[in-house]
Amino acid sequence: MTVETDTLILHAGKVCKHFSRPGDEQPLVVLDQIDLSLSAGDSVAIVGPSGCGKTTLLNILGTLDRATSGEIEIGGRDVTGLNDRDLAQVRATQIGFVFQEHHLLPQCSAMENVLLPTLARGVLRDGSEQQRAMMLLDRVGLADRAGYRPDALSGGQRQRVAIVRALINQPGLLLVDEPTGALDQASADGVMDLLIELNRHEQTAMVMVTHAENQAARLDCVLHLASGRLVSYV
Amino acid sequence: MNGLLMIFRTLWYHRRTNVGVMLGVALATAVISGSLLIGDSMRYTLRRTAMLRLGATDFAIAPGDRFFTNDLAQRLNSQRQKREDVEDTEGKVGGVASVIVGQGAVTTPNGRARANQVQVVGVDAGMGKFFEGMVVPEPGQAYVNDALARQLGLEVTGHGDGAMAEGLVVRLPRPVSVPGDAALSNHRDAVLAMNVRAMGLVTPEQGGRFSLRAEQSEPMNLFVNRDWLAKQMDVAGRSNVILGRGDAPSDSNDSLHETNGLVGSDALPITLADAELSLDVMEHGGVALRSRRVFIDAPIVSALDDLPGQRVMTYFVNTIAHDDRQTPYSIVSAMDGLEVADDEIVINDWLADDLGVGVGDVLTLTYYLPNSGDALVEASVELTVARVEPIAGMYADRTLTPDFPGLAGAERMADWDGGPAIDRSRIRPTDEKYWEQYRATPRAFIPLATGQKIWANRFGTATSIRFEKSVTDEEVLARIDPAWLGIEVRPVRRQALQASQGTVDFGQLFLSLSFFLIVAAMVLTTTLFVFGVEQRAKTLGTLLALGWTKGQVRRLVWVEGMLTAIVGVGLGVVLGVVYTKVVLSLLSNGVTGWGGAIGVGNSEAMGEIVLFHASWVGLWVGPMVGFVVSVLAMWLTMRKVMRHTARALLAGAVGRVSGTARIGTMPAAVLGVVLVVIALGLGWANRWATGPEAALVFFGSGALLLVGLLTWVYAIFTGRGMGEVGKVEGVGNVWVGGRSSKKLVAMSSLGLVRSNLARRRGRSLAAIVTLSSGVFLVVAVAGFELGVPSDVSGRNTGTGGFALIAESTLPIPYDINTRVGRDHFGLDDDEIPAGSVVPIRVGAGDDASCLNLNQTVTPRLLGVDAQLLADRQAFSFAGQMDVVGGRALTESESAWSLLQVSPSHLDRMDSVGRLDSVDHLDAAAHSTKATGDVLIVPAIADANTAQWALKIKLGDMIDMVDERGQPFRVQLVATLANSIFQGSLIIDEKYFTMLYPSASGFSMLLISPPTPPTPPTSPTHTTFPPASLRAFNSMSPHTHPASLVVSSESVSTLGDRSDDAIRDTQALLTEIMADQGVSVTLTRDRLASFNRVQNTYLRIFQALGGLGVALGCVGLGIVVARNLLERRGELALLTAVGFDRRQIWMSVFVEHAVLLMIGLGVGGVAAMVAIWPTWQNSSIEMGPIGLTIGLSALVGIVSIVIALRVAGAGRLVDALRAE
Repeated sequence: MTVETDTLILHAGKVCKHFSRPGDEQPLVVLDQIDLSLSAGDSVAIVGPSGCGKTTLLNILGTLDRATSGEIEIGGRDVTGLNDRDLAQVRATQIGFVFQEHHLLPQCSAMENVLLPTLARGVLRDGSEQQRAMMLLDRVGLADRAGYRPDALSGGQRQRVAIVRALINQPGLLLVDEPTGALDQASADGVMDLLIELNRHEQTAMVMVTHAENQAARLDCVLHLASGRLVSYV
Repeated sequence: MNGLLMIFRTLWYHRRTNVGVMLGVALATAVISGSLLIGDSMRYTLRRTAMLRLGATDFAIAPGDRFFTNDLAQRLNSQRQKREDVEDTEGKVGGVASVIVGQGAVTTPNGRARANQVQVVGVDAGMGKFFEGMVVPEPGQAYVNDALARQLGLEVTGHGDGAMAEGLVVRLPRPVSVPGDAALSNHRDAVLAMNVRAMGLVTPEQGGRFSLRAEQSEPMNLFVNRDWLAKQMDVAGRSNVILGRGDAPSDSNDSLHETNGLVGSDALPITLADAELSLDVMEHGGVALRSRRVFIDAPIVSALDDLPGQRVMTYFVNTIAHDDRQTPYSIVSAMDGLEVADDEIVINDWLADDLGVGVGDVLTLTYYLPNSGDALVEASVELTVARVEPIAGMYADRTLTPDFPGLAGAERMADWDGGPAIDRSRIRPTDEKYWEQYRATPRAFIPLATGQKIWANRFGTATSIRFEKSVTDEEVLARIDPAWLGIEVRPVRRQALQASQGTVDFGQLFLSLSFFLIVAAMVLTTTLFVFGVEQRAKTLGTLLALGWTKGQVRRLVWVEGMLTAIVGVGLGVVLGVVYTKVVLSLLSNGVTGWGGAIGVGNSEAMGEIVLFHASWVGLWVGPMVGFVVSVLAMWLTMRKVMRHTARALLAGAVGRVSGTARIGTMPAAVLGVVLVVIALGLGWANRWATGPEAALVFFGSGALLLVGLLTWVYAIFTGRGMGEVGKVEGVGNVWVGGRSSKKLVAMSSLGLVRSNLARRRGRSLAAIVTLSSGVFLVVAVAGFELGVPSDVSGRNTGTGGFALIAESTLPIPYDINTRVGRDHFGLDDDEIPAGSVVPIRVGAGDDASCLNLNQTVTPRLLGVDAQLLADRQAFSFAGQMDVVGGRALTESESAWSLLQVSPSHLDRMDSVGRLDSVDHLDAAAHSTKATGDVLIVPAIADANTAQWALKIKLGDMIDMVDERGQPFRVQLVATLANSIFQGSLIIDEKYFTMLYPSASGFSMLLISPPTPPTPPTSPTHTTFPPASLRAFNSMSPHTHPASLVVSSESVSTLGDRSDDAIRDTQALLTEIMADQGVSVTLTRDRLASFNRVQNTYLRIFQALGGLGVALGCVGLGIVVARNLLERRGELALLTAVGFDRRQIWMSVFVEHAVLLMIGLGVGGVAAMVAIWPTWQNSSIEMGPIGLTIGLSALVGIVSIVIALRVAGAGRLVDALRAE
């Protein structure tokens, strides 16, 4: 199944991922010939049963993992053969991650956590990044919590900080993995609202892995992943 | 927000882990720094001691028992001042002082206290140039240093004049004109006793520690007025040591300037008087060169060969006989120019009348062999009368006769005092008449060749050289090298500084001894760092996911680690200083036992004898090493962690389970069995062996057993029954769970423990290996402890079968095996039987034993009759050269025989390659001089002395200089195993007396255990020495008269002796040899004092290693905490399914206690095998070993409990919720 759009932010072609386990004669096929393309402002939900390879696909699209075969282009650049350093640069400049766990650094404040990706780029020479961070935190309603450490924030607040962190470098692609898995319903709805709003407002292409059909339905399209293949398209 | 802020935030957030890492780094740094600072302190102390003993002395001239004129020092000074290049505007350079230095014994008048080996120093105002504040005593007064005051128990009421006023009796060897070993010597006045009044103390800065010997122990010094002392010693206007300051300041590296431009014996402005020579005008014209010492040294006689003159050798003849007529006690001169055959003699008319002989008659001359010393061995020669001359002209020249001790100045023959032993009853009135009229005018004359053949000796080859024409002092001096007389410049400051570098680098030594502690600290540091990084794996993964490169993440963690390390290193330096001071305090204190490492006795507390000192190198190297090692450990950890993908890090998969076993279970099990079998087999085969080799074999078998047992443990842990590991691509290792090959393991608490142990196999094995290796090393080194044989009569032991060793301050002039010696000391035959003593000559030189921390510049030589030791089969050899001088020992020969081989001059040896006469030795020496070769002397040394102090091995040679300044080499031909001879090089007595002709008497005696009462029914007696000894001993200076009858028991194995009898002998010897200042020590005490050094090092290693094991146990606690934190979720689950908290904690406790016990057990068992032979001998103190293991177990258990409490704090259910 393929999504075709005008300005391609992400293009994945015939992506396969196999795992080998001791004692098994045949490798385990997790992803099989996946094709996927996203333009700016697109949002895609990937749904499927546990263990179907959703997170693996997300990791491959986010260059945290490498495909066994196939090609991936991000922002028009083929990232398949890039080395770790170049992949890190791609992640720093073009990809934002939101994980199920917030993965905030406990020793840093909300503001500092948001600014972490900018440290990777070494762009803290002027105050523009801090202004942007504060603007984003303000947008998610956490301006007054900017100096708080994660342990002083609620689960929803933490996840919102994580989302702001993902957007600080103005990435073209936002990869979101079960963003509400550890949140209560109210917090989950708030986070979803925020993601969709940011997607629309920032024109950031978004791929979200989720179990929740209702959350998936709020995005532009929903892909079902089963037996390593995208089997349906909504 | 910036990187630095983030680093500090992170450091603070993970402060607990970081503090742990920091402390680990600090500990490692402290131990490394401390070890180096200990080295610094030892070097500093030795250097300071060297400087204290020398003051401002740069060079010295010290020809031993030869006395030069005091003017020599002034001439040296004048010579320096004439040099135009000397700039001494501040008067701080240059300057000389003449002093008298002798070794003596001092007692209080009532005999209450006694001090042997006292250095008596005669000083004048010149000494003040070298030691600021040196007090010059008034005649009859003395000042003492601290050590002597302590020894004599002198009460000190203050410093300076009048601080004490105690009378002392000082005994010194009197300078003699004829060496004591000469038959003509005067033993009667050999010892000079003086009464002095001790007035006060001399501080170290004032010269209290003055000594020219490179030893760190404080000498016992007594200072008296030099001129007064010289007068007492009958050497007025003379001294025997010159101290000098160089042309450059003392810290100059200019070796020439430091010795005032003087090198060796070149350009020394000596006079004939300095050489104890004189050119005397003869009664009948011409001049004669004579010596104060009766005999003119052979090199001088040879050097003057080119000056036309007549060499004269005048000697004392006991009897000149023809048929039944005898003339007692005559002087006979051998000289050139008599124009008679070698077997002819010229006599004066008085003798011809006395014996009733004329030309053609044969006379028999009987005389003492010149070298026979107190043995007074007589020899005779038959000569035919060639001429009879009137007592006129040269035949009436009294100056032909030197000033024989006891004869010169006597009004009557009956007044002869000392000198040659005479029977006054043989002196006839006619003899007295001759003496009254002609004094010591020779009665007979023989050719010089004949005289030198029968009377030449090691003390000289002529008694005068007579020159027809006038010969000036300068002509004679131009041909004499002052070095022949021992007058040469020694750069004592440079030598002292070199010596103060020390035999042992204590920095390296303590690094070695602390090795396990350092390793343990670094393992702890690494473990904590690894845990810290693993704890932060998700954070690192997050940063990677956010676009940080691996390099950026690595740098972040690295900078954090380095900052932690820097703080740790800084703290470590401070702790290192504390550690150093503690160790120095322990080393300086005899009570703690550590003092044994530097020769501080067990009983006394010596205070702070090692001074703390830190060099920049010591302060920097330790921290740098600590920092580099820490950073390296961190780098390796980061390298390992950063191999994981960001995804794996985010998943927290780092370090969860061990990797797949590299060696299979079955091969490991088989290897383990093989190693264990080999180890046990080796131990069993060697079970009755003893000695160092046995200890080494057992250590090896123990180590093998350790490896075998650990391999077994490895096999058990990798067994399928313990579960297995699977590797999932992209995720890493996953735990599959415990199962057997065919079925799942039944679930049980034990199974759970076993499964958990194997799950973190690497961590578990690391803990076991660390603990077991530590315990093994700490315990097994006890096997190398040196014991002292309980039965001192065992001749193959370190005591050589001798019970006592006596060392004298003044040489003992007599061999107490001889009748003369026994009579002199009033010994009965049942007291110290003849033949039970081995007398040894002791040369000058530095103590090279482990008790002297200074580097040995010139090792001390001992001269011993090697055959005496060979026939006793005394001592055990650690090694020997197979072939010496082309000759191999036969199976029955002792390695002692090697001392009698001359490697460089086999052609002059007898058929079995042994020296057969002194003549041959002299011939050998002259031959080497002629050919430019260097004489090679075989020597034996204790193996430890050779290896550690002298740093030589079998076959190696050491360059030395003999008494006459001639170079020779000592070749190590054999080494003794752990003996009382530590610290010296042993050469054969023949070589010794040849190289040091004027060294007379014995300064060391080895005494066999006393003989038990011999049953009257078995009076097995034999002449001594046995025939096998006689061949070689026939030329010994202390030849045993064949008439001496002793019990054969004295030369056979002596069996058990009671300690009381030995103590009685000790007391007897101390009493009868009090004048010689003899100290008698039990050989087993002497051996124990040497052994204490090695044993102390072992104990320090054990103590520091024990700390390392304890630290390893703390590390185990950290492992426990880490395991627990990792498994909190699992444990919470167990709680959820119904396990109570106590069950859970017990399970975890048992799991880790098993690790502890396996570690300690495996190490302990292997160590016990390693120390089996020593353990069997009961010479190992099991207390400290048991304490180490017990303490380790206790610390381990406490660490586990603390870890359980810390990591298990809080509600487990929360952890379940987090999962």
